[in-house]
Amino acid sequence: MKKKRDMLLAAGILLIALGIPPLTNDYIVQVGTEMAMYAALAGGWNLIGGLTGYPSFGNVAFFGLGAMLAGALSVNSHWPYWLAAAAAVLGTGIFALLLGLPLLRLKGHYFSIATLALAQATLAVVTNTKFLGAGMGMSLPIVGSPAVFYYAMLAIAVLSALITYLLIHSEYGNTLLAIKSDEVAAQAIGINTVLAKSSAFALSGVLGAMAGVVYALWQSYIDPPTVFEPSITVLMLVMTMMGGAGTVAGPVLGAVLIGILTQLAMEVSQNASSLVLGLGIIAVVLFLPKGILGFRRPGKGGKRRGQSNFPLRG
Amino acid sequence: MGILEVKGLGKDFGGLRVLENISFSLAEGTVTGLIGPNGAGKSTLVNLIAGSDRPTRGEIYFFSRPVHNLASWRIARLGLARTFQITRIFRDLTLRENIRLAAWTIGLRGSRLEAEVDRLLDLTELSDKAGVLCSDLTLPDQKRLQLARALALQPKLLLLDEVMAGLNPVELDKAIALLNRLRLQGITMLVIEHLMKVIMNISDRVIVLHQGQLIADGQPTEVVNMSQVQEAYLGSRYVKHKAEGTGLGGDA
Ligand SMILES: Nc1ncnc2c1ncn2[C@@H]1O[C@H](COP(=O)(O)OP(=O)(O)OP(=O)(O)O)[C@@H](O)[C@H]1O
Ligand SMILES: [Mg+2]
Repeated sequence: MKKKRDMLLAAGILLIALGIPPLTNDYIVQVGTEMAMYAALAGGWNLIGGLTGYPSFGNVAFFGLGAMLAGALSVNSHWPYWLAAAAAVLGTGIFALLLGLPLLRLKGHYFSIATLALAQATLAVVTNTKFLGAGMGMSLPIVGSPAVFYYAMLAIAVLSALITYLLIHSEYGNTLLAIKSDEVAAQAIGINTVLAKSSAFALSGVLGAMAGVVYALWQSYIDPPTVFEPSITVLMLVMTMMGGAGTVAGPVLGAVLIGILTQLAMEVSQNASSLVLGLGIIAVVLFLPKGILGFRRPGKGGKRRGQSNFPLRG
Repeated sequence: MGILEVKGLGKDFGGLRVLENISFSLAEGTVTGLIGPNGAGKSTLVNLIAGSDRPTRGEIYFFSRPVHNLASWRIARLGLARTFQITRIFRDLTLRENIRLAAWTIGLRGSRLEAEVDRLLDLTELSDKAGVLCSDLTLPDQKRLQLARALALQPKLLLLDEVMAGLNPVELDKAIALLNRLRLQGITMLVIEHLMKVIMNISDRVIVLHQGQLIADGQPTEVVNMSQVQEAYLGSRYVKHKAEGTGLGGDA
């Protein structure tokens, strides 16, 4: 019953999202594209930060690397964009997997700081790589329409939510939750925790890179400081925490809420968006330690205290 | 040759020497009680055998295979399961999911997986709580769950670190009966327990740790009567409790 209701709700939200381009104006489509992008990014962050319990402060590295790689392969190597994008996503996924192996040995704050450093180091490497523009911006051909990019970002956001949903309802997802609860015990029941964590990190990287490659073409101009901007990671984290870490809908809800708040704040002042971010963080820490949707997984049979994916409070 | 061989095992924590030159072997199908006063190094020994911690010195062989450098998940998959004295459960999973995940890692799938989980829930009398999130479990239930989860690995060797602490007398008798059933199934066990009643009831053999040294090893009745054991561990409390016919009371 609850499951059916959640499905209907998800379908309704998707229907509304699909109707935005034909029914509204370019400005709203633009804002919607950004929200969808952040929903995808936050959803990716949620896999490692929410489900696995490893709060990454460096996920922007995947977004930035995806964007820069796709841009360079298309502009400098003249690959068709779809191929450049696919290669960039794959390359970033492998990059995340390989870096996850050493980084995920660290725990808690050490992991967070190491991933923060990873993002800065990736920026430094990109900035000094000639193929990737050596720190200069890159102009991509202007193609498509606002609606096309909106739908592309929306598709990635849906994919992100779908992956999370499938994970949560699989033993692999339970593996990640077990690691989050107690890694020593997870190992003691035969779970290869290093592999499980690294693959979650890689999946997180793939989703970040997917958003990045669409972003590059959408903006048609990218430069490293913009696509490696640390506040992008902070937004992923705050949105996920605000909506509900470890849930399917949490990152989406967080992205939409922060998106709306940012737009409202911009009406007041151009610089007010960072104020929204700051207030968002404070609100989450003080009032919503578990996020709006809380973290109480929906059960798979058995007694539960009437929880669903969409309760008002956790 | 036993299924587990421990040779010259030692462990230091910084400058603190917690285990020193421990050697013993466990014969297949036997139950060995591991006793010793608080801080003797019992839990540390279990952690070393299960690979949750690395020995400073010495070697461990499981089915003749060196495991002292193996990751604990690999050791678990070889058929060595353990419980934790300070319970470690997966809070964000339901009880059923906790057990199922363990059975899943050894390759059970589909209806066989569910049937095995049902059997273990039943065995540990947790069936009616199967859907409860583990963050809501009482301590005795957490201990039961740890046992069920360990059994889900279909272990050849089971290391139990004070699974019965905190049980009431009725629960205790049930737990003893359960361990005896497991023993009849041929599961080799190393059981840490402060309650002498349990140790005397289920063990074929008892080994005693004291200040990181193995000071006695033999038949249960033989060991508890050794003077050095009585002095080191059992001391006056045992003598007193023996007089009362209850064995050493639980201080755990
Ligand atoms: N991680 C650690 N770091 C430092 N010292 C430790 C650590 N773990 C255990 N010790 C020390 O090692 C000694 C042995 O501890 P251990 O837990 O193995 O004893 P035990 O025999 O299981 O005791 P108990 O009956 O209380 O459970 C103790 O002095 C303890 O303080
Ligand atoms: Mg102990």
